[in-house]
Amino acid sequence: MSGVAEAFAFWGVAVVIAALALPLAFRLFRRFPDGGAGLAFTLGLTLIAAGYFLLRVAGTLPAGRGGLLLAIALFALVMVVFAARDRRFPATLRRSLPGIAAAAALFSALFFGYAFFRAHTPDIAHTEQPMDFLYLNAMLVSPDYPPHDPWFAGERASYYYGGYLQAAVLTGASDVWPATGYNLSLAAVFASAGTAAASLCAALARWLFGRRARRWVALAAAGGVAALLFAGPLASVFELAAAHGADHQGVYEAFGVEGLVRCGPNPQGPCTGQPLAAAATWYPEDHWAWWRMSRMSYWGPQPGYTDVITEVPAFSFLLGDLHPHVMAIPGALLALALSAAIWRGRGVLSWREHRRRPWMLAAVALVFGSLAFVNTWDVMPLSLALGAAVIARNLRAGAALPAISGAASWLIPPALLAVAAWSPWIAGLSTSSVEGLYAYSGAGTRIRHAALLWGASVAFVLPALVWAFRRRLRLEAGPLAIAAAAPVLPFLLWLALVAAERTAGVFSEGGGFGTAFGARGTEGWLTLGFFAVALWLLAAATLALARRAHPAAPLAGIAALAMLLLYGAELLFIRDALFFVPRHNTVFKLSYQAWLLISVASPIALVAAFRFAAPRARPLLAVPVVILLGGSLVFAVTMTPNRAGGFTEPVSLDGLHYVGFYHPDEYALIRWLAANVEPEAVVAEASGRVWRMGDEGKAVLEDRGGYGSFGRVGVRTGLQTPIGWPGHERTWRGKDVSPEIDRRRDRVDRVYTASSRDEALAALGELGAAYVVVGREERERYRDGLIPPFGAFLETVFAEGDVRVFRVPVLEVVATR
Amino acid sequence: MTAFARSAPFPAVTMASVAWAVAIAIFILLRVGVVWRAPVGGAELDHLSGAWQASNGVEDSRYVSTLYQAVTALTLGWTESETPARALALAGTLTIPLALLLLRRALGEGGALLTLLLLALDPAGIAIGATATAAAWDAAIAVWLVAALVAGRPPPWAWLPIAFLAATAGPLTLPVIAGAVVVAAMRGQRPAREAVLWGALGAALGLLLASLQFGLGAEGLRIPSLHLLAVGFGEPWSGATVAQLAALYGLPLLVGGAGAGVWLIARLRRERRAPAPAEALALGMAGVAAIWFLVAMPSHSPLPLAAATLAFSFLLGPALARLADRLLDARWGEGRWLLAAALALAGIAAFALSGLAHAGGSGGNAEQALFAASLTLAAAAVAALASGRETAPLAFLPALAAGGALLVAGASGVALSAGGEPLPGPVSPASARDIRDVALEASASGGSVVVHERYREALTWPFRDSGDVVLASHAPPPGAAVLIWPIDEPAPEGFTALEGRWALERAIRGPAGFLGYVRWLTERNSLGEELELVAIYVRAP
Repeated sequence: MSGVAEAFAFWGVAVVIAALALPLAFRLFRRFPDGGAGLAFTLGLTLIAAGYFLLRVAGTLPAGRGGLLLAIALFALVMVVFAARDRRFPATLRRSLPGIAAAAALFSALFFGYAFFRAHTPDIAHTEQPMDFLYLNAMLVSPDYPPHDPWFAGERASYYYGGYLQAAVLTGASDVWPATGYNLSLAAVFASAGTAAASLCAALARWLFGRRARRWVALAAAGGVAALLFAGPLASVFELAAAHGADHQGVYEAFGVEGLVRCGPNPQGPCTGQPLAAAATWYPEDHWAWWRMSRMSYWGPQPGYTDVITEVPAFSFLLGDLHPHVMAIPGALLALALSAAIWRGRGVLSWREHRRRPWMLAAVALVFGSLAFVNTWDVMPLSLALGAAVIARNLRAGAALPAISGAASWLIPPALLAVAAWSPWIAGLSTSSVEGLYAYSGAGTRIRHAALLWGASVAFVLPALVWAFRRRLRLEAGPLAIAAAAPVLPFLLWLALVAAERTAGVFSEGGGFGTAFGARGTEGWLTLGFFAVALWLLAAATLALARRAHPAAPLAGIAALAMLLLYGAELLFIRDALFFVPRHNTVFKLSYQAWLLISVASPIALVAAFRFAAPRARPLLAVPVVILLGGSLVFAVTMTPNRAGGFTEPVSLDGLHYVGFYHPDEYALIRWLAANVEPEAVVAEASGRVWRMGDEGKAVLEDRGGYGSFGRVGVRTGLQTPIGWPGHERTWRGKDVSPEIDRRRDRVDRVYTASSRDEALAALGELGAAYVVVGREERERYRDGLIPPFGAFLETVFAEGDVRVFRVPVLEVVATR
Repeated sequence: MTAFARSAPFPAVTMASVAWAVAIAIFILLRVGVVWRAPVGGAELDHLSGAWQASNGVEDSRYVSTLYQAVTALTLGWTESETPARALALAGTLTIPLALLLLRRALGEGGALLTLLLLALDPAGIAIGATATAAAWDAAIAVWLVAALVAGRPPPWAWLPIAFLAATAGPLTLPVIAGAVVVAAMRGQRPAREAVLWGALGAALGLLLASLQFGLGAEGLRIPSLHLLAVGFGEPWSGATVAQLAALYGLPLLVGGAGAGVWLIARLRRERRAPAPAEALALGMAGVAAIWFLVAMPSHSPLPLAAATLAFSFLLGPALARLADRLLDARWGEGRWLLAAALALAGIAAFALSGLAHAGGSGGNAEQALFAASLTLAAAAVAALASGRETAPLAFLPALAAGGALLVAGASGVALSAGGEPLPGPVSPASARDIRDVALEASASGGSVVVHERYREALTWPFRDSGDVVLASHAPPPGAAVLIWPIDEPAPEGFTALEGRWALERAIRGPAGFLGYVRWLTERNSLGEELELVAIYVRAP
């Protein structure tokens, strides 16, 4: 298949899956203007991947395309029955047809648009893309489930790999070459995220504005898509200006972005910025200019090393890592939409409801369970949203205590079902890499940086909400007092952790109140204070609106949840394997979720402000909005051509295109391995260490290696190899696994540096490896002729250029009776 | 009834009973020969190998544990021949006419009869129903399921064996089950509680036994039909793809069935009525089978085609019966000349096309002109027939004749000379067993038989019951007396090759292009073959 044909096949499968999910989407999202059509892409894929996983674990479905197609077929059968038993299905279908058409058109436009972009920068070559590709291939190739870990032969994957499974469903069912499927999966995530955002924003806006305000609803939906997929940090404005020479040091220092000042190739005098020349094109030209927006530490001097990731979706889609937090976006929006739909529904929810509508129980369990499966970080905040939605719905009908107890009895069964369904995955997770909750005792985020990252969206959501609902938002003592718990409780928790000296900051661990309070600079306290006040006000607004069952309540609630995440990340963090940068993952994951939530809330709040403003006030309102909106779009507009090399590079969707171009023999190796090696086999490849011949004729270790181009056989084929990236294995399995990692690396090195046939065969036997690869990586890492003459005692089963694959000779007796 | 009739020594013979007898006879005759004559190939080769391994207690992915494959494994426990297993397959398949007799009321006498005739002539049905594939009993179980669902109300306990058989069957039953589920949901039907309980018990029992692989060992929750359907997308169960097999053997039933389905839907809309249970089920199962067939078109398996032709027969049979009624009512007098002209011209076109095909497409202009002119005139004559309200049914006759000829050609090819057909393929030829006999003979005085690792799977069936065989990828391993080795590998030292052409597998290539197809229709043995040749080396004296 050509790249275009593959793109159409992939798109076709995604659209078919969405169409199949419509009957359930109609039931879950009956009150959405599109009947949930915009969420059907994600809903269908989520449920099919979940079903496929469970049936694979049970041994019912075999590996291969047939199993994937059968999972889709079984889902189709269930959905057809579901539609047939829904008396309102035909009417909902008729009513939702415009929404379905709009969702399909939006999905298609986003999918092919992103595929076009990605075709100009398709390589699976950098950051953690090899790891992402590894898991995608593992899902496709693994002979049994839970899937194996191609970098740790004989062990199951220990990671949240649900998103890779979803990508594998689309890739495998459409019979697309996995390296192309990787890029098309990104396009599918991009498209389904945009479509889900549009659907959710349209629903929330419709509830706010009523049936007749179609244009306002459409505007809110379009705003949701733009805010989620294209908005970026305002700091990009400074980067663009600097690229064109407008980088006055004083101004940049005032905004805390002096790190973006261009110093030229040979800076004269003190210059804190980048040693780069000005752009000759309208967009910044220097290599990977877009990377700087993902880390505040590049923007300006930080008090200490605080290289936390402050990534936003627009950056993620430019980067092109098929990472869990990216693949989780559509699912998170689906969960949020489901929470909103549940809030909007009628009747008290308790466990009895599950007897009446068991499909709802299953849907909630699978959607929220999948959240954990795809990106575990998402499940807690979005479960909080679900819980709040159920309680708020029950509160409309009665007192607080029965409302809460009913909600609990409704929530527990899907939670238990989700845990039971994903128990095979949970059982394979290593918990030793997570050490629990800690108080953050560092400098915190500078207020100027917080404003440049969050300014546009927060500036929209808070004032717009206040403006739009000023008549409803009378400052009542009750909601204000209750809402105060939102910022106070996390702060008390922080204090308690500090008291227990369970704290850590930049290069510091432990320490009491003095350290914790002193480490946070003025700007850090200002940021914390701002988030606390915003959280308090938004929580109070949520309570006030929810009490009146006002349709703006979910909007305020979503914004409040976003603030809680940002506030929480300034106070607390989860200590994990990436502790070498404190709160690295916590800020990254939580602020990413916050961005997602605010992307939904801010455009609707903004449109509401316009909608409810007096006509003569609208132009006044428009001025700051246009400035902030324009500023937030600068990142995507200017960095897309930068990332795509000005759209001048040759077009391909094959993520291994560059391998074929530069190293055709390595490309042929991958094709051969994928086609000929049985999925159970273990393939030996370079361990990552670098060896040279010592003076005494023995191998001498030169470099321990840790993260690089090795491990490519596991990455590109999904076949099991003894050991891949050791740092990542430690992250996934905990530091207890280090001795085993070293043992495996030693054995692999013994294979490639063996001085005799017997030594090599013994090491291969200990690894259980049937194949040995000798290619570029091996020749670069086992230098000076260290590699033994495998061809003399192993079979040469593949030879192309300098690349060889050797197989351990087969000799076995079979009884034919 | 007259006194003569009452006193007659034999029951009255009606046209219908004669027709049934003929159809049943065709059904049986086209299958009986297959049991003894057809080579083992394609899916059957794979599944017999799996059953053989299971009979030896060896885990093998080719054993999928349908009830039939378990029974096959049982037969292979006391004989190495495939014939008893095939006879059992045939025994199951021969119950299909009985089920169709029960369906007379639901499908109509003519509909049931013609459905049986179509099933009798279905090449894919013949290839699967009379050989030892894991799905050998599927068609019978599927037809009995149809009968149980639409032909009457079986007692609740009857659902125990029905569900057991369905749970342990292969994938050809899935379109019926899925179609029935969809139809029941759309009609808002709920089966009787007692029937559900018996059915659930039967299904649970079936799934339990299938999951235990009928005694070979637990393999998770195994649902053989789903498993076979899924692995069929990747396994080489046929030399030709599903699309090629459909073009070679399935066109009449697929095109006719699809047309009949469209006609039925149009009729239901025109008459503004809900479909009868049999119609609804036929549409449902045909829809599911069609999706499977379409998605599986690039894969190498006869099963999707067999499922589609089976399901489509239930649409086409009743439609043909209805057409037959219309033909009886048609004004033959008005259209007889046009019909004769159409048939004659179509015959001339076919003759000219055949000439072109035999000339390899390089026929003269005159032949091409003759073909084009006769085809155009034949089409014009058919159009003229179709334009008259009273003569319109006659317009179908040329198509029926062409479809019938194709069907008979396909059925007779598979039934009577399967060794020369692309279905089944690739086959294990007689020479494969000869290789084994030669190897055993040569190793009788000592030493082992060594087979190249490349033939790990291919050797299971021809080398059955051969004692211990060594699999090796490096030649010559110690103690080797005989080597069965790829011909593209260098000759091992110390061994000499036995003369001869030793083929481990043989496949008949499908015809190339449309003209090649036409040529194959008129000259059945015109296809080339591909052989998996091996060398036999014996230790030099």
